[in-house]
Amino acid sequence: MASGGRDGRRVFVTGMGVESCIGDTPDSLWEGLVSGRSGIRRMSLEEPLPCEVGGVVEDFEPLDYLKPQQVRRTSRFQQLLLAAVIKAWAAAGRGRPPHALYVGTGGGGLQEAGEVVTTLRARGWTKVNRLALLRLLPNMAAGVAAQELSVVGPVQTVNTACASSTDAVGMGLRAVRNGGADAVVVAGVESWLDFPSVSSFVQLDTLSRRPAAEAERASRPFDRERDGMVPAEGAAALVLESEESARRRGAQVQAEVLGAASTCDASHLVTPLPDGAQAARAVVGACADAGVEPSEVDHISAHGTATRLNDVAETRAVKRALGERAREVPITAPKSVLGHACGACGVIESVGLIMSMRHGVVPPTANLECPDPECDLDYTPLVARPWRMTTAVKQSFGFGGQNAAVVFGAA
Amino acid sequence: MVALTEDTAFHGVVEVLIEVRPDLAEHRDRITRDTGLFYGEDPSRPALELDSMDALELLSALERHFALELSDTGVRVVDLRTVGDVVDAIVRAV
Repeated sequence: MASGGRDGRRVFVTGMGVESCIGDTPDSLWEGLVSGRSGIRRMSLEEPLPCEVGGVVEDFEPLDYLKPQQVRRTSRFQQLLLAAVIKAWAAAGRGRPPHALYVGTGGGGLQEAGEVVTTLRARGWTKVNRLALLRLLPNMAAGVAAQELSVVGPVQTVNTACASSTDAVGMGLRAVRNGGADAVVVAGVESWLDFPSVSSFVQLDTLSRRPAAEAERASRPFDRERDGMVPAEGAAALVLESEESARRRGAQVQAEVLGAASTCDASHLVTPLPDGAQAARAVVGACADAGVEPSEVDHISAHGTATRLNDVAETRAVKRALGERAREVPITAPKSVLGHACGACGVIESVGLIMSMRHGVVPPTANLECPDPECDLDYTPLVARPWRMTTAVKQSFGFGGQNAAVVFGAA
Repeated sequence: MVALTEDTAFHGVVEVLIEVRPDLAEHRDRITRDTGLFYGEDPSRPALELDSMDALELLSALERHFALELSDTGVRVVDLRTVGDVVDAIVRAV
């Protein structure tokens, strides 16, 4: 096992929880990832859109986690987060509340905001849900979760678009490693599969327009025939705990969080820097924070959105960060089966990465049938690969030039 | 529209209170016009101990039950101290 950060305590992952379109437990998420089984389906909205497919968390029952009164008062993004956090905390089996909670979300209660405006225009202001504001403010998912877990320490919501929950992991790492917290929860949530929100992404021309009949083939990171990201919703949470606390109570350790870093392209609001320079700096910075050389990285969970620009820029970023070693490292693109859960993708995909490390298998990138010549790294096409991983990177890149990376170590 | 009697309004308000706070069903028979809605500092005066979110839900539920609008009547949560205050607000709004 790697020796941990340059200074401060070692930080372990002792609990995980997830709600995704391919599974609502770490094991079921893993089974979907490793088998390349897509969770993308036909998505029905109020009106037809050029984007017909998405990753919906099917069969989610908020009453499994909330009382009827709480279900009435909360929106889906609050409910999804709460479910993931409750499951992660239960899995960790820790008695006392977490010291802090850090939640990443891109749009917050976007769906609720859409309903407010729809109701306003159709029926007037007096018909707007009196609790709507509490259901849509981006911090209110964390607020509900904090109430449930009695978190009286820092409860902070971070928004760096698609890098949000990866940044949340970094915040949690620093709280435990350097801030004296024994245990914190880091999480991410996104629920934006509503007509107004998806319309906005359609208008930005970032979404795949593959027909519903090809839903499972729509998300094609690094493939020559890719045509954009596939929207998805979901939530996930990790319990980060100090080594001392974990060992004292005999906790089951899933992985170690070694380091994290963030940068910004400061270049364009949507298009990533073509040379991947700042994205690479996030990865190199996370390695430095972890006290490891980039050459020690033996696996990367890519951001891999399947947009024409991200996948090329990301390839260049990995080459810059890892140098000659880049071609020897198997990389996977989990969005090929999960779709893009925006602010939640960092932690959802981190759960997948941790499961990869535990099983010693790199999940395949689904639909990678004909790699783009400009994406000429080993993206583990179509077939899972046994591979021993000790030092793995989760990287995420968001609108606004946001770049975030976390380095995980094997348990 | 036929005017709503105070008695009908009272029973409707009690039903709606129980809809918002099902735990109040077992105390139904003890709810009167004088029953306080929120936390009561006087132990001799019964109170339902609704919180602020209960109160907002109550307004919405009353609107549905009585098919009326309360948002533009000027009624504010802060003005509703007892069950009787709610009944009177409903009767005025109809």
